[in-house]
Amino acid sequence: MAEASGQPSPKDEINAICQDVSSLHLNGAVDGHDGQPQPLQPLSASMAPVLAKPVANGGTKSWDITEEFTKAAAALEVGQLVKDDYFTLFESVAALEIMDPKMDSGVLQPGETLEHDYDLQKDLLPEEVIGIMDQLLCYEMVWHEGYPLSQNLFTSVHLDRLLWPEPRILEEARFDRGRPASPMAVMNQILRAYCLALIKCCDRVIQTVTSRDYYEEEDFSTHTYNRPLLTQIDETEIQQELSHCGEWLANELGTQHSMSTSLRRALESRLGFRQTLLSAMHQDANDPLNALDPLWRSTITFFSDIKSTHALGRPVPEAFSPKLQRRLASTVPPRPVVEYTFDEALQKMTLLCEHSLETIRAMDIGSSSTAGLLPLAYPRALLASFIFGGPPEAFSSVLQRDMEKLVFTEDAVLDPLNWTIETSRSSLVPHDPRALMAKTIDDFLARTSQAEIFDNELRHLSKDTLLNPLMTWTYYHKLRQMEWVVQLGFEQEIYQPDELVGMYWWLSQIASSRYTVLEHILPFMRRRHTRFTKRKQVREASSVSRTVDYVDAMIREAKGTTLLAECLSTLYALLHYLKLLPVPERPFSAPALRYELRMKPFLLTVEPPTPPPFDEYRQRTHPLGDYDQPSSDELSKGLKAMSADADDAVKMAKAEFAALKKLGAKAARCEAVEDAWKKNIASMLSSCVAAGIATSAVKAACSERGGVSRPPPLKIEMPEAGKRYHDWWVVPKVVG
Amino acid sequence: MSNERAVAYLTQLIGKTLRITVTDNRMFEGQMKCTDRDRNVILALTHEYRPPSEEAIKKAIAESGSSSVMLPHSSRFMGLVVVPGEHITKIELEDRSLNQPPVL
Repeated sequence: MAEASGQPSPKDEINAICQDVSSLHLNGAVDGHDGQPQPLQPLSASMAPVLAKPVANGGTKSWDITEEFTKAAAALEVGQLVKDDYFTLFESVAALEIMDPKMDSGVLQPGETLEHDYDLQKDLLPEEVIGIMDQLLCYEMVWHEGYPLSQNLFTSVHLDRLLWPEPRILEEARFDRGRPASPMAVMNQILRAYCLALIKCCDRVIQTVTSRDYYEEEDFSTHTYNRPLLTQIDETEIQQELSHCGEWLANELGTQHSMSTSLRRALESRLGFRQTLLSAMHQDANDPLNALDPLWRSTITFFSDIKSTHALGRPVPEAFSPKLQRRLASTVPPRPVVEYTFDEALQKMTLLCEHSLETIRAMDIGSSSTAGLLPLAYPRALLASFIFGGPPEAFSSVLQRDMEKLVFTEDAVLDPLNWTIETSRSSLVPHDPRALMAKTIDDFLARTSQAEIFDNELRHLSKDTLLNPLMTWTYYHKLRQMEWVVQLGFEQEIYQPDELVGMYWWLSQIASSRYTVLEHILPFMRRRHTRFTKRKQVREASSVSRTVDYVDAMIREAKGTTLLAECLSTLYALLHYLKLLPVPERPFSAPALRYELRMKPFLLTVEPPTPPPFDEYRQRTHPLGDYDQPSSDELSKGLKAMSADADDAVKMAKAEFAALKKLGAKAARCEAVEDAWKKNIASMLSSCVAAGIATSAVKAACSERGGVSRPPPLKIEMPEAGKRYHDWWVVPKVVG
Repeated sequence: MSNERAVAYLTQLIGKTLRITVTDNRMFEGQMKCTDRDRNVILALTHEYRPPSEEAIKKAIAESGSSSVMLPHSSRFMGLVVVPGEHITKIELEDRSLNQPPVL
């Protein structure tokens, strides 16, 4: 029999109560719905469901062994342990120490209780409801950013009451549970509907994210502390609650109650936002994308109202209590609550919606986003769901659309009719959706050989098709990924300043190969276009003409990338010869090994560009001999020539990017993310300008000084990632 | 008592389910993994049970008007814990298969 209180109390009254209560059966919180005492489950028998909750008292036999245990323990030697053979001291380090306030979240200070003193039945004012809703939004975004629920949403007294004990039907999820049902004040109803929808949104997010690859701890915390987030409750029921509240606001409240229009608007926009967000998140990957697009779009429209009415709300700090996390199933010590400002949270929510919308549009139109900000786990998972979550045909269609864009425009090969005759023999679907990009290069490599076989077959089947279309397509995408691997290296500051010569040189090699591929496609597409135009096949002609534009835009982009990379590689080599770039001491590192390490992702490639042997690479990146001891004959002439080359390259690069800008987002098939695309081009152009300035300064220094006996009086500043015009382009700043 | 007898007694308890009550009245129920001379006990797969606070009891009685009111113990899963010997007020052995407690 568990006693309600074992401590003698000075007050007789309490003693009496305690005695009364100690003679009662105390039921477990979950299992006690029926009021029957239940037998205590031995834990050994309930090993499989670890979280099964035994009841604190019941029919199980138990013996008080305090005395024997104490005596026996006292007879042990100092440092002697009696332990399970399979239990290691290493494991014991992870044990939470009971009664230590830093580790045991359940320990109470004298006089402290776990109960919060917030009265959930209290009628709320509209201002308070707005205040609570906005605080909930802040906590929701903290959660989206990767913090566990215990540090944000689960501090809400309201959510706690709705979720625990777990409601079996929606009707049970009330603020006044455990009391005789009484009509709830309208404002509390509105808050309840909002909370329910919020919980359901969280549930959807967890389902979407966990169905995809993600990194727990790093990206997102899916832990719900054994509290199901209304998973079993149908979404439509919650939608109904929201609609009811919306109707109240629109009809009765507006007329009967003296609520100001602005308050009503504030509540309406919050409910409306939840309602559309819930619908948008509820759609499955199998649903048509065009149904989702307007939902996300209209979710975004609520933000301006929510923002402008935020000031009407009155914060209710009592409705949130960090104490609540102490009641959660916890194998970790309590952690501080994380706070965001409302503006910050709204900004993040806006981004989440925009990224989700972008995802859908990208899937629909087939353009890739170049947005700089890292999307939250949810939109990322959403994209993965669209690509990998649907039936295999959905994935093939993404690939088909891309092939159509590049090599098979208006080609009989992709005629849907072909799919009705026999199913495709080999699926091109990669197995590991979020493997490292470098890994996918290898995958693409493997596919190249498959592609070759199919291409040979295709040649017999279809005459009006690009030569080796599948190989071209695979090769093209492999090159893109190789470029991205290198460019991400710049973005993540993996390469040291003295490695930039080599890495930009390597980037220019890859990009120029990609340029060559595109050059091979363009004339073929042009010929088809002319033929279609002559035959007055207007639809086909315009479709092929789009591909011509696309290939043209990609050519500009590849060429610009090649040239700018060449310029930077030469520029950095020049800085080395001028002894303006410090080379760190590396007592334990050999240049050849470092080179091998950097080229590791590309070592398996067989088609050009393949990483050259180290000697050749060294020769390419040290055109005038060793940086410290350049070949002295004609050195100044060599430097001048190099600086002139760099100058030419950057000018041409700028012209290419400018031409790309002129072709526009539509040609580049980025109209869905037009703003981001434009920003990206502008940043690349700015990088070109900055590189041009740096090159001119170095060029001037080279022609002024005949030799390199002394470094010119220039200073080099290397902008760090995030502070560059474009994170992929590390352009040095040369200060005179 | 001899060290051997003490070890023999305590070894029997390894892996058994113990309920350990501590000074603040909470009870921890879990599988015993390890103990030492200071009576520190490591329990695995532990659940924490907390009796209702005195105020909650008073309130419940006042509200229902009856002294035989049902109040739940709040419980939660805590996993691996170490209960320091100095805080232990009571140790119970739970075992439905035994007809009598092991003898020292």
